[in-house]
Amino acid sequence: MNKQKIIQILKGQKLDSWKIIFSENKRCSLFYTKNGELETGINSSGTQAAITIYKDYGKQIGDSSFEIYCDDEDKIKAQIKDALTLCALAKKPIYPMLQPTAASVELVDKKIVELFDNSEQEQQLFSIWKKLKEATPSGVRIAACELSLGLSKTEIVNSTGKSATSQRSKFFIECPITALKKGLELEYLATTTTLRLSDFNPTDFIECNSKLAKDVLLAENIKGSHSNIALSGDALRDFWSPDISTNPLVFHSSARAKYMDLSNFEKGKKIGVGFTVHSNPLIDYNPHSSAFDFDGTKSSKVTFVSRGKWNNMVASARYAHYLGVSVSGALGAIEVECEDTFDSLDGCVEIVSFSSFVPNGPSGDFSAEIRLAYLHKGKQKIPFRAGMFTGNIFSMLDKMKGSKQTGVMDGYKGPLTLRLDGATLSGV
Amino acid sequence: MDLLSRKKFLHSLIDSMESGGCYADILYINNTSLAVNKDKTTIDVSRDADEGVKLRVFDGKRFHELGLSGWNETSIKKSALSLGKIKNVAKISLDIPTQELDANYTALGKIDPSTIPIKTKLADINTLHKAAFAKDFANLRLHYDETHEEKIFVSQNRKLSQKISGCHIALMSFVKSVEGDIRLHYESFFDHGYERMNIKKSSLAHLISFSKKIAKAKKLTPGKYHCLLSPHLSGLLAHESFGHGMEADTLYKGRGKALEFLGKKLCGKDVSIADGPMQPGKHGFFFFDDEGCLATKTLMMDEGVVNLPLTDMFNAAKLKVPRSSNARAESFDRKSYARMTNTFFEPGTSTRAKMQQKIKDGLLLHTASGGMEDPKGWGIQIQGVVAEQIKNGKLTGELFYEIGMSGYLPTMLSNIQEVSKEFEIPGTGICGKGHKDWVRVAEGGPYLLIKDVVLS
Repeated sequence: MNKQKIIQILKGQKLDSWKIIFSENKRCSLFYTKNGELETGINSSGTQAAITIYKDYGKQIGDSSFEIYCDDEDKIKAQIKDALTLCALAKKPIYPMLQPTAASVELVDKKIVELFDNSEQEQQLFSIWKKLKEATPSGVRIAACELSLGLSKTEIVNSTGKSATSQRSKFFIECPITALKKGLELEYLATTTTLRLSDFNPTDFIECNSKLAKDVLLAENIKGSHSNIALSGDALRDFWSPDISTNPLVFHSSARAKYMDLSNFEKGKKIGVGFTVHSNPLIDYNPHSSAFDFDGTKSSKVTFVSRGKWNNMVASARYAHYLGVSVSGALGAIEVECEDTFDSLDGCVEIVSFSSFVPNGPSGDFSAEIRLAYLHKGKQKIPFRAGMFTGNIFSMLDKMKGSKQTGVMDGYKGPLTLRLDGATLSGV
Repeated sequence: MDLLSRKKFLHSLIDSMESGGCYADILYINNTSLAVNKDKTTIDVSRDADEGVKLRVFDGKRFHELGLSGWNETSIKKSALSLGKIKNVAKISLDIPTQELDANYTALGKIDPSTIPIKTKLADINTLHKAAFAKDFANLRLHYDETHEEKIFVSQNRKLSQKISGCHIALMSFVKSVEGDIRLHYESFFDHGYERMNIKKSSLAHLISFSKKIAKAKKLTPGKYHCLLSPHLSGLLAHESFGHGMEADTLYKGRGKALEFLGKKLCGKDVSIADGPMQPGKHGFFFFDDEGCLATKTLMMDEGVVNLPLTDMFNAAKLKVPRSSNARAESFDRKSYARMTNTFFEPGTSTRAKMQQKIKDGLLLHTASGGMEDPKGWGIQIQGVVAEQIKNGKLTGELFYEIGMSGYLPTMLSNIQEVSKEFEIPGTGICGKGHKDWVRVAEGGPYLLIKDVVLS
């Protein structure tokens, strides 16, 4: 695909304004099945361009976008003509076009770039698989494994004449680990995504997740009901998922949701006590970090809850303009700070993994089954599973305490364990 | 180059790809869509595209695949030649069709959506939005998604193409509850042709009245309940709690409990569960899967006996079970896995009215937002359930919101008391393998009367 040719075609059409997002992707994936047998190896590559056309109607603007995989001039011109028709039918209040700018954040691993440059990406994945197998302890087996290395480049150019570019690397692994004991088998699904190969240690990954798989096997169904809940590990990451559709706090801090009359955000309104929440897209090598959003707006850290009160919205250029708030750019990892800390989890139920945690964004309600949790009784940590963690996220924000130990995961930064006193869990 | 010419070109590469003694096939995908999102504040329109070619060879032990975006004959030829250098290393024991077939299929509905002018579509969308928007709503989001899927599959003996269009309309109403939080209700409609835009007034009236009831819905006390599951819920149960566990790759990897029960009785005779893409007008419809297998129906459970898995080529051979039309890839650069299509309980002999009469104090489970599979544990995980109280066989109009359904699948299936003859497949969703590899599916079936359903 010839980028300059596409840009010249758009310039030649004398449009009011336009934007192009060029994407280039390379990926190598290996899929292992039973007994470590390799089922499939895939190498893929692709380029595409997403073009948005804007038409000025004074106080209103029309916009419409389309995607292309080639630089055929006739096809592009036909698409532009179609897009202009759609612009006339999709008018909305005018909003500004900003110059694309990239924030300074590390997103690409030179080692992964080198692997692709030297066509050694598949060899690298074979090597990681070998280490995983060697590190597998007794009493568990790796039921299957998907390993993937990827490299992508995104360039945003618009009619301001400016552009911004960002490159990103990625390593992904998904590995169901089955624990076995006396004819009984249960599994724990271990997954991780990193941008940097050195952030993934096969031995630690297998050891840690094998322990969890063995605990799932030992775990009994919890009975009765419990309050004083704590979240850690995957459960903590899922609870703070940086996604507008699955995190009620993110949903309500979204300028777009506010504009649609769906958000209860009011700056300064109290929603809890003693905690602060940021969207942080600038954490180096975090999979939820980015240099800019889909408009090319430079990424920035946004504090959307400050000491328990709504503070700033997460807003693209369009909705920031409509609501008169600052443009924030892309949503990043959720960073949590708690004023209250705790020393002990005695008497708490610590949930480390949900079967699936999908709260209702607008209402904050959720109901999630426990895949693995621990009941803390003095020095004992008793594993159990099943049971339902139900409630409303907004009603839990008054009594949040964080562990003193903090850390970073995919999509989350903050206390490694969070206590939600007042939340409840119902046993089977 | 038109679709048929592309098919001819791709087929011409198979011989060179098999020059090392391997099995070869090529899948071409060209999906385009028009998406319109309208709510009370704005209207957004975009056209999306996903085009690419997946070339692969099987050397007797594994597949080697190359995925290329777009359509570039030079790159495709080059990739075919490079795969042709791979040598066969073992006997190829895949179930490869020997009968030659050269066929082209289309499903464009009664009114091909591409024949309707865009101005008409936008006008119809605006009219529909206005008709569905009640004054009590905080907002109403209408999502119109018009898809045009083109696929080519070629192998030594297969030259297949299909063109399938789809008109999917989703209406999401947002209402403010009596407690002040915003609640969401979702209804969707699908068919191949633009005739789907003609949504009955009664359906819109139902959306409005149900949304208003949800605003007053209460939280349910956790417990076990006597329930009547709607076709939507019975479909979700079939899909999430059983279907995923019958995907052949899951079974081969030892990740599915169903492997221990193949050929064995799990529950009563009135329970049969099937899957198949062969119903036109359903969201999981197609003519052939991504490995060229023509549409088939698979009876996963046959009168209470765990029967046949859903397969792709590799895992059917490993498990030594028949091939079914379930090999599906999200895109040209993703793997083809055994996936569901249209999944449903088979209809029974009772009626919804008779079944509801038998509930003295229980619930009608109307809808749910989704679920998650647990093939190893056979756990049931369905979330976002909306239920309505039944007292002495009558619906009371009192709703309960955001309920979770859990439990153990064999227990749930054994607790099925009656199965209705009324039957529909209303689902219009997408299904992931875990949280990735998304494909369009449908689910549905009859009403099910089930005792002791665990809800919270």
